[in-house]
Amino acid sequence: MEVLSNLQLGFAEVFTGYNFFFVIMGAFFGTWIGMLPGIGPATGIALLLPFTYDMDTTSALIMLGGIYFGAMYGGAISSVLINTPGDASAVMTAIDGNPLARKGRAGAALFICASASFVGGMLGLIGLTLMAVPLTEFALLFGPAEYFMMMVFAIVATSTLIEGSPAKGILSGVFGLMISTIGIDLQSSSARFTFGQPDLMDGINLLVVIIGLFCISEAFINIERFTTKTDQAPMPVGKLWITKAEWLRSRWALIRGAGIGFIVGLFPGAGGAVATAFAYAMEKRISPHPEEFGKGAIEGIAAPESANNASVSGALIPMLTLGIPGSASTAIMLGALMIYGIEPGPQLFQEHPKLVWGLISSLFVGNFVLLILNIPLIGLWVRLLKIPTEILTVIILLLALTGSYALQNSLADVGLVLVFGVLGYAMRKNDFPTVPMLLGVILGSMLEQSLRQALMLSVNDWTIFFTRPLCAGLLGLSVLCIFGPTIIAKLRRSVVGDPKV
Amino acid sequence: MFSNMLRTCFAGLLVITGITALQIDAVAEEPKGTIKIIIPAGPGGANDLLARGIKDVLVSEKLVPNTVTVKNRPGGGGAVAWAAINRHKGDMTYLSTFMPGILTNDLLGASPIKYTDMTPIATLVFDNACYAVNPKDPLINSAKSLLKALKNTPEKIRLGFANAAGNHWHVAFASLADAVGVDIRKIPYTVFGSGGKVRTALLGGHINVSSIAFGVVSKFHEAGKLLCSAMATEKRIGGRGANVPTWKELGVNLTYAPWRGVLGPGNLTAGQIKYWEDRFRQLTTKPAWIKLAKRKSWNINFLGHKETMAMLKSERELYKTTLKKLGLLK
Repeated sequence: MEVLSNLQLGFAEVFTGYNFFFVIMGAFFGTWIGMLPGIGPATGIALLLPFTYDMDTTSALIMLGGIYFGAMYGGAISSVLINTPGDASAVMTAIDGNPLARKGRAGAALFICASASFVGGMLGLIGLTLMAVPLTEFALLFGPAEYFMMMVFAIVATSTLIEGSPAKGILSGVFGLMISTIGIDLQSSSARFTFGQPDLMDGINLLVVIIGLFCISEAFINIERFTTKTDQAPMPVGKLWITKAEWLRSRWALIRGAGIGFIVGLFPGAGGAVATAFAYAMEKRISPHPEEFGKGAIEGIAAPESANNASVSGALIPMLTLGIPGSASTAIMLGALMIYGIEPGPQLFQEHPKLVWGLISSLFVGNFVLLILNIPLIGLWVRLLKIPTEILTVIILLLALTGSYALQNSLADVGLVLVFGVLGYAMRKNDFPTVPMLLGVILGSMLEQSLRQALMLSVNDWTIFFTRPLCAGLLGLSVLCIFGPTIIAKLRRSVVGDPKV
Repeated sequence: MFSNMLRTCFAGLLVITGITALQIDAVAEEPKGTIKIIIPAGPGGANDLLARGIKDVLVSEKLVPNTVTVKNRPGGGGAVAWAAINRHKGDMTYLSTFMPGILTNDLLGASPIKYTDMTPIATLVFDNACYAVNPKDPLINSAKSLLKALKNTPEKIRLGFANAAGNHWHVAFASLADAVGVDIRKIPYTVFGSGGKVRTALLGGHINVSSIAFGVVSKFHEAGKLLCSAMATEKRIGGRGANVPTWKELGVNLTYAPWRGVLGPGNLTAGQIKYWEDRFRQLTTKPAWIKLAKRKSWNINFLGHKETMAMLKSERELYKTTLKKLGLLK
C-alpha cells in the first residue's frame, strides 16, 4: 500500500526533532486565535508567518497546518460560551450551541463540538490522504490554458459565492489583480506602476497585503467595538458529557457534515462558511424535529462543526496538487510555500514527499492533540476567554507591525501594511469582501504568466479557451457563478410567481 | 651619503612592494550577518538546484559561520533577482547565481542589467544540455522524430524552456535547428519561470520538446516518464545519462554547454571578492560538492573572478554573433 508507506514517512517526519512540539504550538495558538472574535485561521496564519522565516520549512508548515485546524476548533468555544462566533465558519455553531449553553448544558455543547470537529477532521483527512496522489495525475492535464481558466474560476467563484454583493466581490478581486501588476514584469523585465520608487520594484509583498488587510483592519474594528459592545460573561461549563440519546441523534449528522464539508471545501471560493451553512440547512431539512433547531438541537451543532473541519482537508487538495488556493487560509499557506521556495503543483508530492506527508500526518496528530486540548483542558480556554479584548487588540497590532518589519527589515513595508489596513477597514465597513482581493494579489502574476504562455503555445489563438474541454468546463462554471443566482431567482419567480405580488 | 640614498631607495622599494603586495593579495573582508542567496528563477530548475546546493555545502562544510538563506525571485530571465541584489551595492552578504542569460538579456535589450553592473565572483559548473521529449507524444518521442519534425513540420513543434526568450536554452534549441538547416523563428515556443515548470508542462504534454539542463530531468528520464533524446555534449556523460546519445553520434554537428556561477551585487571591494573567491574555490574541492555535482549532472569547472570576467567578455562577443546568425538579434 503506497498510502501507508507515505503516511509512515509522514509520521516519522512529525516525530523528528521539534516537529511534534510545533504541532502542539500550532494547535494551541490556533485554538486561541479561533476563539478571538473576528479573527479566523487566515489572520492567525498571517500573523505568525513572519516568525517562521528562519524555521525549517516542514516545521513551519506543520505549525501553520496546526493553526488552521486549531482555529476551526477554537471558533466553536466562543460561539457556545459567549454567543460570539470566532470566525465566519463558526456562525452556525452559535445558533444551537449558545441556546444549549443557556439551558445550563454548555458542557454538552462543547463536548459535541470537540467530538464533531474531531470526527469531521479525521474523515476529511482520510479523504485527503486517499485522493491527493490520484489527483496529482489529473493535475498534469492542466496546461497553461487550463491553469489560466482555473485561476479565473477561483477568483470569480470566491468573488460571487462569498456573502454580500457579487459585484462588490468582483471589484475586490479585480483590484487585487491590479495590485499584483506592481513591480518588474516577469516577461519583459520592465518596471510597471512603481512610480520610480525602488521599494516598489520587487512588487508588493504578499504578506504585507495579508497582514494589512486582515490583521490591522480587524484591530481597527475591535477598537471601534469597544465603544459599543457589552461584554457577555462566559457561561459556566458544567458537566462535559452528552446523553446516549443525544449521541444517537447526532452520530449520522457527524458523518453527513464531514461529507458535505469535504466536498464543498474542494471547490475554490466556498470554504468553511459555505460548508457549515450547507450542513446546517441539510440537517434541519431531514430532521424529524426541525422545530428544535435554534433552541439547542444537538445535530445543529454536530453537523456544521464536522463540516467545518472536514472542509480544511478538502481545501488543501487544490492547494497542494494544483497550486491554486480556494480559501483565504490556503491562499496564505500557498504564499508561505512560495516564500520557502517550494513550488506547489503536480510535482510537489514527488519532489517534497517528506514535506507534504509530514504536513498531512501532522494534521492527524494535531487532531488528537486538539481533542485533548478541547475536552480535558477546556477550563484553560474559559479562563483565556476572560482576557479583555482591549489587551488582545494591542497584542495583535504589536505582532502585526513587528511582523511586517521583520519581513525584510524595511520600514516601507510597515507603511504599506498600514495603508492596506486602512483600505481593509474601509472595504469591510462598506461590505466589500477582502478575500477576493487577496486571491487576486496571490494569483495575479501566475494568471498573467499562464495567459501569455497559453497564447504563445497556441500562436495567439484565443479559441483554445473555448475548445479545450477542461477550459470550456471551467469557463462554463465561472459564467454560472456570475449569472447562476440571477437565473435561478428568475426561474423561481416565473414558476412560483413574484413573492412581492 | 650614497649609502643613505641606497637605504632610502631600499625603504621606498619595500613600501612600494608592500603596497603592491597588498593590492594583489587584498586582505579578505568577512561578511557580517545572514548571507542571502537570491535565486534568479523559480523553484525546481537548474539555478534553483545550484543555489540550494551552494547553500547546503557552504553550511555543512562550515565554509561560512553565518546563517545562509535562499529565496527564489523568478522573472525577466534573472533580471528581477539581479536588480534585487543590486539595490544593495557593496553588500557582500547578497549573492545570486548567473548563467548565459545574463549576457543574452543585455544583448537583446530585454534587461537593463549588464554583467559589469554586478560582481561576478566565480564560475562553478557547466550544464549538460539535454533535449527532452515526452515518450508518449505522437509527434515527437525520440531524437529521430524530433529531427524529422524539425525538417518537415517545424510549425507543429511546441518548444518550452526556462526562463527568458533568446536566452541560452533558446540558443541551445536554435543551434539544433540551425544545424539541420531550419529557421528558429518558425518554431512556436513558450517561456516558463523555471525548469521545474517546463518539466511539468512536458509531462502533461502541453509542450512537446524542451532544451533543458539534464540535472532537472534526470530522475524522470530514469523512470521513463520523460526521454532525454540527445545531448549537446562532446561525449556521453555516463551515470543516469549513459544511454543518451550525443548529437554528434546522431550525425548532427552540435555541442553546447551553458556555464553557471555565482555573483554578488556591484561595487564589491577587492577584499570582499577575495573572501568569496576563496570560499568558492574551497567549495568546489569538497567531497560533498563533488558528490552533489555528480548527482545533479554538473561538470565542475572552477574559474576565479578574473578568469570569469575574461570568459564573460569573450562569451558576450560569441553570443552576439550566434544570436545574429540565428536571427534572434537584428
